[in-house]
Amino acid sequence: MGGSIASAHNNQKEFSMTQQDDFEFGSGFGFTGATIEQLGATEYTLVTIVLDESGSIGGFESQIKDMLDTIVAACKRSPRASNLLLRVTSFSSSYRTSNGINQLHGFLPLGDIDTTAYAGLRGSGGTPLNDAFYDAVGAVNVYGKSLNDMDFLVNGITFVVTDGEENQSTTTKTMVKQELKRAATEEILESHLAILIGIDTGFSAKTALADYQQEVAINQFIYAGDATPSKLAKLAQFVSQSISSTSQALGTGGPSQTISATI
Amino acid sequence: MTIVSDHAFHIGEQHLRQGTPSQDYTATGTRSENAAFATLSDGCSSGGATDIGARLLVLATRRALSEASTLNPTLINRERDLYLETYRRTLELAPSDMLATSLWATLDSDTLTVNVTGDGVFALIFADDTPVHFYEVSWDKNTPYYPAYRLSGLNEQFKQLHDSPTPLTVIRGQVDNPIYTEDTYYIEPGLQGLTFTFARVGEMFPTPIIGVALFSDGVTQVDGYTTAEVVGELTHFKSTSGQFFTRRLNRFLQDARKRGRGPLDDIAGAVLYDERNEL
Repeated sequence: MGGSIASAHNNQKEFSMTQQDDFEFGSGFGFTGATIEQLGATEYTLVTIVLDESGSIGGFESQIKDMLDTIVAACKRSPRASNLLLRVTSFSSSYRTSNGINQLHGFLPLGDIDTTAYAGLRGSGGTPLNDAFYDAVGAVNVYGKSLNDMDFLVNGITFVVTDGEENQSTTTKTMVKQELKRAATEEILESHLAILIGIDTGFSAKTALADYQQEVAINQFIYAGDATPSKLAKLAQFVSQSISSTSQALGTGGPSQTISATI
Repeated sequence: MTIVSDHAFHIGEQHLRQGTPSQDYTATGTRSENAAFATLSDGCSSGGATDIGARLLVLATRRALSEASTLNPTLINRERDLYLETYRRTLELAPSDMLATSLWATLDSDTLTVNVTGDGVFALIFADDTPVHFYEVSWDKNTPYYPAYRLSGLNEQFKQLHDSPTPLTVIRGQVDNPIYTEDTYYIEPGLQGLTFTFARVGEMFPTPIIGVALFSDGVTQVDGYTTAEVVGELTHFKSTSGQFFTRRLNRFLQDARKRGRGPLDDIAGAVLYDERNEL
């Protein structure tokens, strides 16, 4: 498995004020996160947003980027903003040296995130969906355990937005499933909610993604339909509401109630 | 010198079950660029609205400590009592609402000072992982002295209540050692508030004092734990950023409920910690 942490972070612009540390897991997967010793709150929700950057999203890049901006802006307005740590990645087989993952930024407090510094998406390459999920959930597990070991109460929510089915990963569905199970059974996090979101960019993969959810045991599958600006705006609203309710559920011992999504 | 501070309080099992509020309260602050303070109060369960009294006592102590130009415990406590009485009259509260303990500590580059009026526990935190020392202050018959007694002219009545000439006890221990030392005190110093002064670097302890933690007597009443264990757990900070004591307290409470019923009484703590760690 190729890739290195250094190359995985090449596309990451420097806009953070918080000191960050590097973490590694699996075979060649890595991420960054705010230095835990510097975090001040009592509890955090680890939010991960994973965006498909494969060739099929070509022509929709700016709408998807707008959706991301809307989500981050909504999170910043949330009463739980100071208890959120956000990581954003995109995935495409074009990122050959980093297991198909491009980390826009690691787990950071929202105050340190400047969405204008996000590099624009450039649709190209295949869809390493397994790698995207494995990277996202693995990072939550590793960072969540580190936080938990330092007395922080932690839960997590992960969104993977894609228009296509898995076709080019180095990891397997079984590995993704195991990583998701690990989050739930090893008491690393109080709870972790993984949500697969399908969008239609002219290549509907609704059935394939629904099957993927079942096979990998992802908590929830939402099919948003056509990737129009209004649909993506509603999707952004759903994501930010889910983040908010997950964070509010911290300390209750279980996951938040799923919002019924009609997008 | 960078002194960080944090404080937190948590309702105990008895008050939770009875639907009554926590009667502990606490605060931390700075006296100057190089000096910080912590203060804590525990309201009397058989008093009036002592949850309010404990809060007012902490606010009064905070004000007295913030404003004092010199660190004279007698003067600080006198100022505290004046403010407390002013607050009580302003809010038209009864003297019985003010029945609460008063613990405070100040830490600067040279000295740690702790003052205890009533009961409670404080702990000294040392550099280089030297085990934490703790001091448990208690009164016979579980009847501690409260500053409000003086304000209500009840000092003589309080003295008559105690049969022993030395009703005030200070137990000194280490969190890693089951052997304790016990000192008893006459009643009079207890009415003024016992003052403990420590040079941060000196011959008394093998390594410098880098921090102090004040606790209400709730730390002596956690189901399944000794006081030493509770103090050891609550001073075992994983980091010292932001709400570092609150995180430690939360995790301890989570663990304590796995072992037993958790804290039976309210539990409060306030910590001052010199991050520089060497002197």
